[in-house]
Amino acid sequence: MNIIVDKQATGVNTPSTQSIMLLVLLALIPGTVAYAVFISPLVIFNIVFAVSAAMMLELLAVRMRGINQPKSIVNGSIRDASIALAATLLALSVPPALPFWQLFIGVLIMVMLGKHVFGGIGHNPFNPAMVGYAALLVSFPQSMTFWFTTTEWASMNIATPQLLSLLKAKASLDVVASTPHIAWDGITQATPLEHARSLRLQSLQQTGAELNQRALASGWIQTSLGFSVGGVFLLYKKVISWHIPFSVLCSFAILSLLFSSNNLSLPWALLSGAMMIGAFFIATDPVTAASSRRAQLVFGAGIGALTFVIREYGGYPEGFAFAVLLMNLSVPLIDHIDLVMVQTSPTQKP
Amino acid sequence: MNTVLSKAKLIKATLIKATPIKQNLINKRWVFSPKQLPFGFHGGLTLEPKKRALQSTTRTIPEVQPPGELVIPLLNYYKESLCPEVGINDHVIRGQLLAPGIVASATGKVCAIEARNIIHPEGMTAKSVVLDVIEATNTQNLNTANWQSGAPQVDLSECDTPEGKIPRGNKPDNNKRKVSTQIDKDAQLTAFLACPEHVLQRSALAGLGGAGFPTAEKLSAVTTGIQTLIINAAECEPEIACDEALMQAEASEIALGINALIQFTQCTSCLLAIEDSKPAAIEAMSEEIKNINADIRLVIIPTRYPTGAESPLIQTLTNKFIPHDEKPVDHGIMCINVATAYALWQAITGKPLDSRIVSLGGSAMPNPMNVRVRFGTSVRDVLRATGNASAINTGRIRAGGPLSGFDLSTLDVPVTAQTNALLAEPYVTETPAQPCIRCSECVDVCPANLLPQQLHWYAMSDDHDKCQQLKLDACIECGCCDLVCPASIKLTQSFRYAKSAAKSIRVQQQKAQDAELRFDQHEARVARRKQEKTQAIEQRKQLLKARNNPQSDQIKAAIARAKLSAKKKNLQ
Repeated sequence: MNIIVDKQATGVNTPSTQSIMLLVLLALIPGTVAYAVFISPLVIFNIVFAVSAAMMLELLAVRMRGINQPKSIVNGSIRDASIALAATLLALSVPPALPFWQLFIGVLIMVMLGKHVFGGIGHNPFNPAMVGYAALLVSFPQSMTFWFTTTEWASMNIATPQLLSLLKAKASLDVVASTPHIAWDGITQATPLEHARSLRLQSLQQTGAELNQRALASGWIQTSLGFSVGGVFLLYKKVISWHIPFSVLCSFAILSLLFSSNNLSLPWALLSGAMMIGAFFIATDPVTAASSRRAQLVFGAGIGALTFVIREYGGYPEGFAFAVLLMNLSVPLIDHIDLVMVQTSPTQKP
Repeated sequence: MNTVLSKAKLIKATLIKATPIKQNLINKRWVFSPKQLPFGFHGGLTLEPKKRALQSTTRTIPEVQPPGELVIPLLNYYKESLCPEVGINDHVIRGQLLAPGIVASATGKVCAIEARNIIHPEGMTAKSVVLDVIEATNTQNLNTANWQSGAPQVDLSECDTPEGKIPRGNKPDNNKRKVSTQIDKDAQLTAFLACPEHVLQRSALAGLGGAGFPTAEKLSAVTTGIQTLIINAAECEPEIACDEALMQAEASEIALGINALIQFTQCTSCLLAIEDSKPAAIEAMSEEIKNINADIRLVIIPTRYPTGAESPLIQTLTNKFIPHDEKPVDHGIMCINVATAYALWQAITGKPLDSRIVSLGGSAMPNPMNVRVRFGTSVRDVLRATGNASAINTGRIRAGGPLSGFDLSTLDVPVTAQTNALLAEPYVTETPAQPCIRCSECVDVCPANLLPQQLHWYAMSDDHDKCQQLKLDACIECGCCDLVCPASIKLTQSFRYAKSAAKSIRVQQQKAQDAELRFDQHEARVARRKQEKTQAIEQRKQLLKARNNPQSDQIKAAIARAKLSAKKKNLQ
């Protein structure tokens, strides 16, 4: 044993990968609670299901790749909690009523195609959760755009379906067909962003107040506030730096102010959809983000801009996942340009 | 100690409160406070200064008596093996040159010149002179011996106590000599300035900060004017306190050394940088530098690792960034460690550099202290002599600080000028390295402003071109990146590996180039010889031809003449 740098002797206690991931999971709690209360408690079941499935698939993948595993599961590759975090993020981004088998496919794609084909943690070019989400969105467009919320039901005077029957439906093959008592056609396309998009497609204009009212009623505002509280906690704990969230939110806000066609007010636009969880939890994934701080600003600005473009002009109501994936793709380029600029700038400090 | 602390705090407080910078500029001997230092370097870490070695320090520093055997490696700064100037069974006197830049640290007999283990992360061996010490019996002769004849004046009167720990006790000496010293000092200084090579060549001065760069080389590189002379008293690593102890014990001699450096370099200004975590040293030095008649300023810098390294310190003090492939001298800056300044003064007074102060610390060291150790004393002997023998079994021993040092695989390795600390730490189970998650913590703390995560990636895949592109050579191996890495990746180790691999590739390439050149030259020589040979043959042929032709003409002529004469005879 030849220790070059003696962490012990310096008395410095720096966080490990595991503690970073656990802190991020901890920071997700307020948003998750708000989600469960204001949108649907089903999300808890999704998280539990996704996390346990992901852990099992992780172990399977590690076994298949022939990596030597310590005997205890806790000490294995799931110890660093990164897969649990990715599974939680995936479960938080899919609609709560997504059938379990579809969620399982999403987790499978996330673990295998998102992470392990590239060599496991630290080597994946794409955010695994977003890979799983994107695969689900293009494979199951109907159930992936099938949102309903408890608050909305209450506001629309529709009897809330029993949790048990919903779970039963989730366990079956097709949620829409097997959920009784509900006129589904009436409440699909229910998120504020979906609503704004359908209005845009029909060339209708609704006043800002109406839209805001609707957004508040959908529960998304409250959930996003919960996530932003968690994000601020992460910033305070210095788990993430301010660069990526700041540039994501800034570029999105600037473009919305300049080019937005609907009357959704700016804070409301920022607080709806995946903007907050995305800016603080998904885009900041260090593995798939740009490495230097300057490059991170560009990376974040790209995500914000692409999200706006997809929301405003694209075929999907929410574009955060695709924006993240597209910017993941350009990270090597951004890093390279940044490096070249550093090396050739006259005032360089290498 | 308490009074000293509070006094120093008082000084600092008044200075910070004190004065606008302009007034300070007029007043030449002034002190910067951390708040007035506008510059800094990128990255670095604020570490808790654990100075166990200072616990037992009084104003004097005990010395370890040289054991029976000293091992002096014949290696220079560039890790090149040197040719010894002494033979086996030769008697050597303390201070005698064993090889260029290496002196005997005790009087004795050379009993072997062989490969011995040296302090090295991979347990390298090097050709070393093994001395059988007979110093004690020779004391009398040495005191009368003449420095000019190769043997220095060494005062060994304090070196004999049964425990092996000897208080240096300069106080009584100083009192005794007080009257005559000032003249002596001036005379010695003038002698040094008149002929610096004389002192530098014989004194084996090496940088005592940790890298051990030969000071003679540094000083002789002064061709252009030095604007700023920086005296580096910032040992920013936890557990290392040798410079701090030295400043408390030998402040006046350090001041003399600094004065000599100022006179030598003819610098326009001199900055003495001490960290704010060393109030006692600040107080001691601020008293002493008043006696220096030059533009010298004491700068209190914030305690931040690695300010003690040359490049970050220069950035902190002058805001000048020195690229790794340039020398500070070219920018008019010279950086000298405070202990080296002290050693220079010792050399001027005729004592070559043959010992240094070593901090004994670490959480498993039973008797932490600062102690003066002769070069060549084995680590084991140092620990035994200081009552730390139990640490050998209970802990692992490190050479150097917690960040810049490394664990020793064997304790029978000699202390050298680079050994600033010996630490005993309990055994720990190492956390295995996990994959990098590209969190960029290492980028944030890197004082050389590099991209450690990318460098690590390329270093592990042996992509040396890419490593050069990312300026691997600028890495000062401070270990900050290792410390903050959440995945416990051993970055510094991989950088050391990549550097040595790149170096060996360079050496091989050079060898290949040399071989190619030799081959080409050989080919050219062969071709030239062949050509010369053919030319010579040609020439001889032509010569022969030329010689034959006239001959044949002559014969013909002779025949013709004979015929003619025969005809004439016939006609007659």
